[in-house]
Amino acid sequence: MPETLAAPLVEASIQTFEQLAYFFAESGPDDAAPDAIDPLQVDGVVSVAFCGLLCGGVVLQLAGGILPALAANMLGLDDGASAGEQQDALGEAANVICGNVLPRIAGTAAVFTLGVPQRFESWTAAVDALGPVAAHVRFDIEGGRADVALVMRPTP
Amino acid sequence: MALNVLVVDDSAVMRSMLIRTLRLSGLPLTNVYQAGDGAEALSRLADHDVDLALIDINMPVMNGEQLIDQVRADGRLAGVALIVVSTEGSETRIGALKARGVSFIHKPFTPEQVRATVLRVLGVADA
Repeated sequence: MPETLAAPLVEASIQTFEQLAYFFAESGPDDAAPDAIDPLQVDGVVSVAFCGLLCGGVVLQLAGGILPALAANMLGLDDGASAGEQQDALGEAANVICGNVLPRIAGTAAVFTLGVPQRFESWTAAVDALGPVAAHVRFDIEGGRADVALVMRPTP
Repeated sequence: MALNVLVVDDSAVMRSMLIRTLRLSGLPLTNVYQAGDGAEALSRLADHDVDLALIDINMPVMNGEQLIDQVRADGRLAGVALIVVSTEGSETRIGALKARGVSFIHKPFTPEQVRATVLRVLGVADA
């Protein structure tokens, strides 16, 4: 994995988890591929596509039951968030990571258009739809796990 | 100072989060209205007196930039202060927004950042 892409992806992800959901994320061991997780443990997978100087997307997968807490923290709820709110929260988290990683890798002069968050059934389906993974980072969060990938393809 | 605020974002979670952040910031809010896109926002602006609109950019039906153009073109809405709240990281695009008289808050945001930007836009010194 190119360090030049992984480092900004880590920074943007940690900033997003902390400021959006008060999650304190720690980089986790690279001991299991995101597509090797038991599907029953996966909370949700979403991607946000971008195009500009570079084209590709950000894929975010949460597993281990942390998506309800992400949504509840974002909403400031003591009780659980609805399924719709959880998917909305997951999409917004991916959107914020995407918006924050792009200036870190392409500079603040570059202009990008971001797509709306797209929900996928699996990590593999999301990556297959977007293109090759340029960087992947994994975080341990409150007993669960978050995987974030930066996918890039040749600019049309 | 008591503020009527319109929050425009296609994500209901982000609208709720922004409203909670506004309340946490200690700003004096009177009424808070919501809209899921630019067209809904124009409807709310027609129905209610609004001092400040917080606007996302990427939205369906009518995006934030289109909404800003419509508001700026309507003399009846000249008193509405506009702040874009977005993940946008391009200084080029942010500069173009500021040239249209719009301020900018970057996602993710803190109550302190929101408070400082709102007070600056309204020309009010922080207590």
